[in-house]
Amino acid sequence: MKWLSAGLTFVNLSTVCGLLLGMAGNGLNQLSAILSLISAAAFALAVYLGTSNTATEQNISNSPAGKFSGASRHKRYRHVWLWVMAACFALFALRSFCWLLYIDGEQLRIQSPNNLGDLALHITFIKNFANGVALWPDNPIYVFSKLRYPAGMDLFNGLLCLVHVDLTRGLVWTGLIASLATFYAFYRWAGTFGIAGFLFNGGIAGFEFFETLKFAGYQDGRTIAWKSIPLTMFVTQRGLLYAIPAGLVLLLHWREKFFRISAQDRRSGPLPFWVELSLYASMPLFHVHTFIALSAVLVFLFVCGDSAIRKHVAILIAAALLPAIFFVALVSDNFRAASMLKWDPGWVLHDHDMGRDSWLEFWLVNFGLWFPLIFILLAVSGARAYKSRDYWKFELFATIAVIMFGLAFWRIIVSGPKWQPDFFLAFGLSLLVWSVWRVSRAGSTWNKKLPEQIAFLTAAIAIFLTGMLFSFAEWGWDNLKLMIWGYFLVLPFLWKDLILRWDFPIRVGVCIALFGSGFISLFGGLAAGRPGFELADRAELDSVGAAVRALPPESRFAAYPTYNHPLLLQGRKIVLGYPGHLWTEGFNNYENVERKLRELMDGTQNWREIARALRVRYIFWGREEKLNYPTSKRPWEAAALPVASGSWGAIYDLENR
Amino acid sequence: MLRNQLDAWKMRLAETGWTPWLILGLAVFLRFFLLGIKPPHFDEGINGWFVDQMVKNGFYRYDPTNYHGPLHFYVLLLSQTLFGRNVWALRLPVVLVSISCVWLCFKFDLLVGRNVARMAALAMAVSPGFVFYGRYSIHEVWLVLFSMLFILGLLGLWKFGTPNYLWYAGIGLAGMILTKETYVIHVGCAALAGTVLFFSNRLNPLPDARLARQTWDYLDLAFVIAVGAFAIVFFYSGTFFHWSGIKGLYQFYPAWFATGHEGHGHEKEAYNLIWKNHSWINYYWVALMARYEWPVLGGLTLCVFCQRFKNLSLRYLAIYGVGTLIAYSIVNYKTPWCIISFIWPFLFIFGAAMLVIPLRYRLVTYVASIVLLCASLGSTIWLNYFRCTTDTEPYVYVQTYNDICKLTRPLLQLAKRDPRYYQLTGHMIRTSAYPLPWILGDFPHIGYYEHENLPAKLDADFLLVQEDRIKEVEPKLHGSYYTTPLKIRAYQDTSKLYLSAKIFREFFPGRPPDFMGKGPG
Repeated sequence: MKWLSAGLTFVNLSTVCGLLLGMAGNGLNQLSAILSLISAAAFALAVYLGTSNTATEQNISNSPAGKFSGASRHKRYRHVWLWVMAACFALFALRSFCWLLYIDGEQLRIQSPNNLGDLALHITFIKNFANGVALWPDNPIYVFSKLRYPAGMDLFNGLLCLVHVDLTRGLVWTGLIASLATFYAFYRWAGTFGIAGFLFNGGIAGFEFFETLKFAGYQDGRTIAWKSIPLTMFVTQRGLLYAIPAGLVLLLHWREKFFRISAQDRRSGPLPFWVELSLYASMPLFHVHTFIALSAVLVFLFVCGDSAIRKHVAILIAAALLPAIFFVALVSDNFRAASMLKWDPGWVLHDHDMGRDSWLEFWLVNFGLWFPLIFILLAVSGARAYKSRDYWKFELFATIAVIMFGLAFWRIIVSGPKWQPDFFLAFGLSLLVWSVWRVSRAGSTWNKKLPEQIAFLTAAIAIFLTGMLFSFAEWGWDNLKLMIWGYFLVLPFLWKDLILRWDFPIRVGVCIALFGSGFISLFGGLAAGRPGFELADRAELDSVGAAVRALPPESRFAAYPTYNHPLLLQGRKIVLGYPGHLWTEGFNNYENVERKLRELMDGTQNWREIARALRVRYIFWGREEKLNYPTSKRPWEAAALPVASGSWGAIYDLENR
Repeated sequence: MLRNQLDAWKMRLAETGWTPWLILGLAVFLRFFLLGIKPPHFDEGINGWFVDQMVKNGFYRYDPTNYHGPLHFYVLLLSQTLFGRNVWALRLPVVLVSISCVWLCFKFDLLVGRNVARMAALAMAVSPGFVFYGRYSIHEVWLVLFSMLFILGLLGLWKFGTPNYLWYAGIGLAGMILTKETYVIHVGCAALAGTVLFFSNRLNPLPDARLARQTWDYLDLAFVIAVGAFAIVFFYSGTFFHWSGIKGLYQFYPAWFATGHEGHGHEKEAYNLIWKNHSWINYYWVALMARYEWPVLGGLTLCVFCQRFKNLSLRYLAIYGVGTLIAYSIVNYKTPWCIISFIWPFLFIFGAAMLVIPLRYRLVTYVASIVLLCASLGSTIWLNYFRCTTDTEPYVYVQTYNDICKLTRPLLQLAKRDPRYYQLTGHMIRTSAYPLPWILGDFPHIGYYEHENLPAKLDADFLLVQEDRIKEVEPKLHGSYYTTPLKIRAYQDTSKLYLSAKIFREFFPGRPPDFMGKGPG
């Protein structure tokens, strides 16, 4: 726990320090990178010394992993499943990250078919930061915007590049260390079952194996929504490398501090307050969806907790408010990306590829036994709370009622009265009235807290429903970035409060049903992609790198919009990036810019005016451009100065004739 | 808070005792100091090349005629991925394993006594062979680790019968199988040593000869077998990508026996005794011990008195050590690094000198031990830091000369400064250019022309031409080059290195090119 919290703080604070120094110094350089890393190392040392291991260790027996003990003969091997999971995790991490980006002859290649576009974008961001652009930078893939991405992890890798850590080494190291941190964080949060839940999430798609007898990434197809989390999210979305372990550490900290440490010891939770605050408040810089999920958990801890919990949560949220707003403003282009947030009930149920004819088929194929089991868990937890009379707490019911009422009211205002919002409006109002009536009869519940499973499970439900009702990105599938937190929250309770209480053979059967598909898909997915996919031609990339080295990093290029353009892989700004990336960043109306770019590259008569309008300083004419603008008149060859040329193409400076 | 932490560390250190840490520290220093002083060995170059193939293929394609198990390659792959293509990254895993072997010596303390274990560890820490080959990225050090673990497990099972020793034996055996096919020799010798010990005990009974009550059960055995079998299948099957690799587990025998019998140029017939054709009476290994490993030789000498050992483990180690020495002497294929695979038991016998030498010679024994260890340390320093590429040292075998730096240093410097230089064209017109294919593995335009073939266009940014092909090559060159003779290693023809004057001018300030070609056209 000490190492984990110290490591996370190191990444967190070096990134934040780098950001602040970069903003103050109009861009990063080697000195600011060294300063950031050294100061973060000092903070990490303080965290290592300040983190309380005893507080968490005494409760590890409460972790689901501690429940395996049986007869003394078997005691020696009570951790056998943990070791099996460790081996599986190691296989996944080593295969995914050792082949993340590698040299194969004349090419730079990658192994993961899911990562081709994503990794190229992350390399763009990393190199962009390392090039010393003013922070917070312009968007390197869209001319009229600031960078609209929680690129904290890329900023961290940018710092490593500035201290001469090779890009590939930096990516591999961060990937492997983040894997280790994630493994341990899951173990502490949800035990061995939690690790399996992360590695082998899935439904029944993977059972196609019994038909084909081939290991393959059955869950990674276009028609499956609940894809393999490790392969399609953890490896590809670099923010999750930090966000998952950091988020789990915070959840673990809150569970220990609020529910498992006695009231008089509550001051000494596992993490010092400043670490808790820094991890939470800076989360938007790394992963906005995780920040939303953690905030939802805090809201429900506030609602379900006693006065001490409330006080702590209120202080934490109040202290985090300003820095969090600052980071959200940065990564959302001053909240312009908020336009991506939309009312969109049904998630991907009606998606062209992932949707199904019936909702039952959708849930069954994607999630298999998970949802039935979660419903049973909710019923069992509710029944237990009811029996123990712990269930009654005015604030929880009132909060649910207010949220329901508010949402229904808003929908009626926006789209007029319909039976669904009308029903929920009435239901919410009734629940509120009933809650008030109960409190008037039974008295205040202000200083009572609900059991931990109620607090965390209600937060999980809220997160899941939010993902089902709202769209947080243009591509509905991206809601999973949020919804996975509902899944992670459920894992420890599903094991401890439900499955563990069943007989051993039933437990084995249930685990096979839950994880079988994910297991097949994970290892099938890891086997995919041999002998890799070409990301870039090394000669072209290095030549372009040398050509642009002397050119100002803030200048923008006109080039063909593709994900692995050598300019992008060198961290340079171009008018328009890969349309798929633009779409996921919420740029819906880029067609006009795309049309203008095409006119410019075709060399139409007013090409100079278009270039000015698109803020273009240089025109890049290389392999992709020759291929995609074959009829171009290339007027700049006569009208502009070529600043560099070679077998890769040429660059023309429009400001120097 | 910091003070508390420091106090806790201090207390823990005091409880542990400083001697093992000092010995380990010495082992660490001797193995890490100037690790990159010698260029990659021929075999290291081959191993590195295999790693490059793994990067391309995604797995190690086990070849039963290669006589090397897959484990080392996977570890090298990880190291090279983490630390890049350099000698430190290539050697780091083996250095760590070599240090682990010293640490493992301490684990024998319950079997042979604390002082004996510490003496053995110290002797291993300063041994010229263990240090020299512990700084090479080759398989033998793994074999030492796993064979030690295997024997520790067997002896521990006999004496204590606890499950942890079952694990040592099982993991040791699996590790040996994953490392090198010569595990057969070690397993065979371990079994034979058991039989010999039985008769030895009949002649001179041991007080601790009774088998301890075994506290492990079938569940333990099942787990050990499952883990070992999984590891073997996992690695030999190319991490499940190359299932036919598993067949290699038995297919290697014919090729291995043939090589072992024929020697493939590594016979040491000069050391054959009495009958030149009966090479099993071959004193090559003893000669090496006499040259470098004096404590080992001392231990071997004491094996003559092994019947006087009243400790079962020591007597077994003496028998096992002599048995493996005889077995390795019989095998015709003799490369000097194999020595570390079988001399480690003698270090324990050396450490146990006090137990067999009469007490009245205690002082002499102490002094002799110290002298031998000091001589060993001196020899280690001399060999590893002053003569590590000197052919006349018998341990220095097929070692690459520093001569290759004439090519690699300027080339890598250029590429580090500007990655475009990775695109330089090079022709290696000579046989067996290893380790250059690994060192220059990131240069995609280097051609290797081993036999009679030549590239269509001979001019390149650099060429390495074997002496006997210079006449064929030079008339066809058009450009101007700086030239210098370059010898990759012993028993090879010298080559001539051509560095294009256009590219490498900065490395030869004020010097005109030595070779002028026909000029353009």
